Amino acid sequence: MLKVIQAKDIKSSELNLKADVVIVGSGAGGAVMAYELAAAGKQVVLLEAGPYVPSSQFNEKFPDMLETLYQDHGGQVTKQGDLLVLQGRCLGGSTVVNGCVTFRVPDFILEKWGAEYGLTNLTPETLSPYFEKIERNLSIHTNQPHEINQNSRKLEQGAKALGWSVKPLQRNTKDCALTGHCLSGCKTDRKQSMLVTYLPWASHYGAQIYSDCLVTEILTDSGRASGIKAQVTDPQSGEKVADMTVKADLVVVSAGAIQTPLLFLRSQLGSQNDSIGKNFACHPSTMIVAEFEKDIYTWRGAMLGVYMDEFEHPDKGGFVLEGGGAGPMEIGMSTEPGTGKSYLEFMSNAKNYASCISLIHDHNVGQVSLKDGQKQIDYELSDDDFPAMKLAFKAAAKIYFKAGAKRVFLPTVDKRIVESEDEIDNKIDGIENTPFAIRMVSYHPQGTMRMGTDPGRSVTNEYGEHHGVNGLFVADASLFPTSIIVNPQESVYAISNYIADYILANEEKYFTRLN
Amino acid sequence: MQRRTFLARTAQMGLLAGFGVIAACSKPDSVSALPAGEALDREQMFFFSHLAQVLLPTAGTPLTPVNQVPVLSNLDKLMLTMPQSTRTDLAAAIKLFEYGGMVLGWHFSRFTRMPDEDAIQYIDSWQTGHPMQQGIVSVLKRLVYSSYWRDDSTWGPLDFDGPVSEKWGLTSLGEAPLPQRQSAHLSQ
Ligand SMILES: Cc1cc2nc3c(=O)[nH]c(=O)nc-3n(C[C@H](O)[C@H](O)[C@H](O)COP(=O)(O)OP(=O)(O)OC[C@H]3O[C@@H](n4cnc5c(N)ncnc54)[C@H](O)[C@@H]3O)c2cc1C
Repeated sequence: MLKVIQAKDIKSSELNLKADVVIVGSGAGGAVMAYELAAAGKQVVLLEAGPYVPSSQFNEKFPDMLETLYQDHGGQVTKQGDLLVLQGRCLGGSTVVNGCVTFRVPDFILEKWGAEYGLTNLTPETLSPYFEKIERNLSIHTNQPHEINQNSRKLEQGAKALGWSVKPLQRNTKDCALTGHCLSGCKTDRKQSMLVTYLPWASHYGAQIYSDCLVTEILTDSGRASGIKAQVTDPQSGEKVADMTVKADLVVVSAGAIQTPLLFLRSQLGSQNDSIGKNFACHPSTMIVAEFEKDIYTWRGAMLGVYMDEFEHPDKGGFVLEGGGAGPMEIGMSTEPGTGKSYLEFMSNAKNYASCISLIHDHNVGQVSLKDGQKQIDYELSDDDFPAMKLAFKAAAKIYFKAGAKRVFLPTVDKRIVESEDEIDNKIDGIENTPFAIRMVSYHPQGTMRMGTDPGRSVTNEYGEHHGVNGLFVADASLFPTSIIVNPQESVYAISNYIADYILANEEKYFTRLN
Repeated sequence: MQRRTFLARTAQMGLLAGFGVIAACSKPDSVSALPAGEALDREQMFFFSHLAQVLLPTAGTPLTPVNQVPVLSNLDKLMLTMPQSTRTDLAAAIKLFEYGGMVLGWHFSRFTRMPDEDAIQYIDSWQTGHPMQQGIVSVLKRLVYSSYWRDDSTWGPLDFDGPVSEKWGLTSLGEAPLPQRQSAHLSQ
């Protein structure tokens, strides 16, 4: 049983702890780090801002779960307002609510990181054993035929007919029950999220796990990390329960690509080059919906089945399409079929739709910053990335028509329904890159604490350690110097494990004072 | 690109939906016919009630009648989860939309006084208008749609299964067993 100390367990208004290492955030980066260091005998304290919600409390109703498990109740948007940035805010972080798709970071991305950011340490050969280990530990496997539903079959059918490469996805699930409710958390623990894997394993080795604990400041002492300050809050009432200080030799921040830079900024730990929070990328995603004669029931079966990788390489387009299921709520928001009767007609046909998600390799044009003490995410789809977005729409429409679709609904704010293959170019070429033109959502914030060997162009070094503060590490998706095109969780796990091994291999440098 | 800040916060409600199953949303004739909510005032309730009727004309369709779904109370509860600043921004957006017809285009009427046909035309004109108008109308539509579709009673006509684990008697696999300790052979 996962042992978690929650706000309700805390009886004093002040808590002072000591540990070898304090970890901020319990998602992909934080949980792996906690397990690896605890299993190596380190005293670990892990603090999570969100609540501990056991999976038995997941009710498979997406709106309820958005409010319970997600950052800002599912309402985290950019300053401009046209991009929703979804992230988990609960014990286990985004791994609890994600779609279970797993990929290794593509080799050509690692090559680019080596060439442009000096990350020659992160080669496919170096990372491969980490990926293998993660894949074993999280039961990562290629979707079997029964895990590819009618929805994904349509994507597969159309792509194959066009001669385009299409493959089953890999997922971190064990005996998936095919409920289609991944984004509401897996009620029966088939998803191998951090909640049922690395967190209980870390706890087994003595890591102390706290939920309801928002870390507010990183403490330093003579150029070294020395601990953190946090606030414990009752998740029900929102009332502060206690102030907390954890003194530690090592601080690892794994609060995700939005919160990690904010914590650094709040702690006034700027970088020499002012790049904390800059270089935000997010794979702006859309959902393209196609109507078929026969029933598809996009929401039935494994949520994500296959992907079309024909255009994955940036030289070929820099996008992928993934067959992704959706419930009525998501379908109803994905496109603009018209107002009133035409909207209801569209919704009445919900079971006849197939849907896919587009992910594009966006460039790092965004920024996360503090404005009057509040979070601000600045991101506009750049004109350089706009062609990839349109190519993705065109590819999806072609695929669906080849698979026999009656019509394709584009993810635009104005009404754009493609009625035949001949209309594809015309309808899509007419979309302009204006605010709100495209209905976008991001599931993959990345890049705000760029890793690199040059302190003039990055925040952390090639092992995730802050260039200016010893013993202060970052281990989460914010490290990625560029977006990686594919879903990031497995790469976060692997890089976090890699950083943990680096720390352990150099422990005399880091664990000196408390022992 | 010209963008307006308040849209950012009103759009926060884009994908969200409210809770509960309380009040029905039958079309009232006047503002005073509706009680204020906890977050929405009477005028806002009246505004959304009109908008819901225009956006969801369920009569004559197999869909769950809009007046049998607690759209307004769902919306009101959703608002309660939002910070006050967002609610203030939304109030401004509602006002702009409500009175926009008197200054923009050829409607010469407040939105809540428009007959349904005109109201649809008005909404569509915002949908293809200035990005700011597009943003406002998208947010307002999404708020209403999400407050409707989140209710279980709307799923049957779509053949949407909703929660299934309990229905199917699925058991939890629980925590994964501890892995064997292994080193990933760090090579630096
Ligand atoms: C809906 C959704 C679907 C997704 N689907 C997929 C998918 O199918 N495949 C895939 O590869 N990826 C997917 N992702 C993305 C993937 O889950 C993330 O890339 C990954 O989890 C990022 O890991 P992280 O450690 O950076 O952050 P997270 O996993 O988000 O963890 C960060 C944690 O830090 C906590 N935190 C933040 N600030 C503080 C603070 N100040 N103090 C204490 N705690 C704090 C947060 O509450 C959170 O729990 C999805 C994400 C979402 C939201």
